[in-house]
Amino acid sequence: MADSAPNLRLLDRSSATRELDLAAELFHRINRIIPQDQKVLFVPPDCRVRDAVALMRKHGYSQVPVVQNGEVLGVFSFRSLAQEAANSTLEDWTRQKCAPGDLLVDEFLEQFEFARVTEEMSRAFDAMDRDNGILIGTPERLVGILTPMDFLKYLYRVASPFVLVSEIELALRALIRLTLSPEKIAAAARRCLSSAYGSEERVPTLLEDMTFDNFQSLICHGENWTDFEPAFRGTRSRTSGKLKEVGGIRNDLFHFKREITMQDHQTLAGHRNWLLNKIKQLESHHKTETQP
Amino acid sequence: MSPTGKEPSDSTMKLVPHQTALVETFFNPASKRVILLRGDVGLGKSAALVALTRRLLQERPMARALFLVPGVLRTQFVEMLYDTGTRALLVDRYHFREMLDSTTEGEFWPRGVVAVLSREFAKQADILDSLVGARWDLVVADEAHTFAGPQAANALRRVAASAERVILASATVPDPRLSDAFPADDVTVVEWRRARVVDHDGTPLDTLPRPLLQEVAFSLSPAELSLFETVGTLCRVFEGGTPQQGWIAKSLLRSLQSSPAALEGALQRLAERLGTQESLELPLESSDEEVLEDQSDGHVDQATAVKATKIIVDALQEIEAVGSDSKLGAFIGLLSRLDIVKMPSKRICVLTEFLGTLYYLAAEIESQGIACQLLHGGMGAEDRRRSVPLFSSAGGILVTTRAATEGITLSVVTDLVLYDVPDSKSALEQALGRFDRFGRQSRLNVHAFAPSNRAHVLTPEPLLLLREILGSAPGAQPTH
Repeated sequence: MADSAPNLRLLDRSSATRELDLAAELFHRINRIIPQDQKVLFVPPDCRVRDAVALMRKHGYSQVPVVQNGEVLGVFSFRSLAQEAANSTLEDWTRQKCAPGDLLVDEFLEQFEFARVTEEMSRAFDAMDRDNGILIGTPERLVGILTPMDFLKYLYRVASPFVLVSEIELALRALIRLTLSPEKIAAAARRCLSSAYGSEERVPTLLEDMTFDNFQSLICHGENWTDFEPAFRGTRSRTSGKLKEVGGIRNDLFHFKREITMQDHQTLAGHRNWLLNKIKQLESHHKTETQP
Repeated sequence: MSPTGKEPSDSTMKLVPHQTALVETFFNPASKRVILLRGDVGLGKSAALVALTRRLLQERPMARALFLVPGVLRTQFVEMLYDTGTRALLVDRYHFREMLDSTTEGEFWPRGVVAVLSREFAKQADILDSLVGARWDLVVADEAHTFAGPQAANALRRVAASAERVILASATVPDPRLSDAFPADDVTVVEWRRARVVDHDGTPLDTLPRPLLQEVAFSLSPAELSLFETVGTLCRVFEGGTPQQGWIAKSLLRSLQSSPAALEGALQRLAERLGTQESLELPLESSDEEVLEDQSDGHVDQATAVKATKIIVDALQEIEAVGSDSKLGAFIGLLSRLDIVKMPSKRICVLTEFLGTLYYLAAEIESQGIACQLLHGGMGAEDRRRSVPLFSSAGGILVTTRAATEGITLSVVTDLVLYDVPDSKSALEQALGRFDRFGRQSRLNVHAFAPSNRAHVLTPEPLLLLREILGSAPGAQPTH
């Protein structure tokens, strides 16, 4: 890059426009719910039922759009097949002179509603309830397909980081309580947080009043670590690094700084499981110690 | 229309002579359809490409330009284009769907705008079909050497086939597949060599000596050596398998050499995938890197999964039992020698491949009473924007993942600590290029860690590569 005076060159869009972008991206619009890697599978109207069912089973789908010359004619689904089959008389089946699997999908079509990618997610609820799916785009240009499972996964993705962080925070409190008495917690807090709070009197001594950063300081402070080392094991840097990483994600999450990625999710889940194991080990140790 | 949604500013861009020469070459009627720009890292390729595109769109406002760039550089290019008054459109899956939704008929890709796409996104079947269907006036492939896999090379070849002009920019020689796609009689080659670039007054831009490598020796403890052996056993389970499984083994070794935090994360992720019998197509480590392409066949048979899971459990227990980290100790010793507190003019940048290691190091640095700034791909845009200027003005330590430094100039750094040494020559050159570039005021010191009692699972190649690039031999440079 051709830098003249400053040696550092970073992005200079205003924070206001960045926030607008972020806000637009985080609105729960239909576009956000369509899985990023979704590849719309479709079949032509002359596809045999047997082949369509095999295709749907292979991909784990319960419906597939039927498309001819780029235009959506309808949707073939297990439900449309069952409904049509149930409504058919013996005469109908006899007249076909072929096995059900040899029939063409266009005899079993049902019509799904269409929604645009820019619409609110609530727009799809009724269609989802009625049809178990909704097509995205227009009959001439199919962009995607949404099912109740896509909604469930999306809402889980949005909500689960909050749940994981709360579990981590509660697990940390539990581990601290299992390790130190209330008096020792207060003493440890005064030891490591006084400089940050300006004086000993201002230091929170109840875990419920402490911030996540306070927990990290409390556990990983040089003088306190000897108490916590049997619970957390490994090196102090390792525990401190884990808590710092969680703290960073937590900060971004609660201040809505960015979208939480799959990698963040994996990190939170991994650290949550690690803490859960520590609690189990410590509880088991305590039980053994208190047994007569 | 634009997802980035605002009018560009109109600042002008100052170019140095070799950059101006590239722009002139492009607009010279005698130039061929394809320009291969081969330039050392740190000589300003991105800025030259942006300036060239700006001029094209000024001269031909209805032109259609496409930038195919590494994923981490997408925003950077859009910003640079905006800064020069050029309209740009960052297209990812969400934006592509919105474009599909809002375009009823006619041409899909807008004119007078630069579409910026990551190469990973561009090679997806529907996106590629759409790109191939358009008539591009200019296609720019940044870091063209990274279009190395068959899929990526084919995607670039197809998109470029009908383009009026094509620029392939690279710091290294592009993949032979690309050379096949662009025959020599269709290509004008522009070479930028660091030693030859000059300023407007003819003075060389690069007058400083090459960076100085200083190796930091450390000794692994018996417990660490035992852990290395366990992970080595785990790697051997995968080494004889599919290419993807071989990549798992390599990835585990890289995390092992980085830190217990990186290793633990990689082991946990692997265990989870083995437990769910999920295909192992995603990277094991939080390496802040893009997913490698063409990774298929990631399934592991039941017997291998059981065997591997047992070793993973052992390795995780060993990590918990190891009471010290020799490499980390050596790192702290190095920081102490660099004495950041007494020498505020120092700017130390610590580079790692792993997010886990980044936080691990940051926690340790802070526990020493030293403040540090963090930079990684997962950070919010504002935090990223704050980190580097803060580090630049206030000094101290910047801990960053390698991927996050792409596109950023860090010539203010006095000491670069390669906590992990990248294991490919191009990655290493790219990484060093962020620091060792014109604008530097002093020679760059590069610090890397070398275990003296090397466990046999460790590969010395990255360090050898570093010595080769920096032109030093073991023992020839001052060591700690």
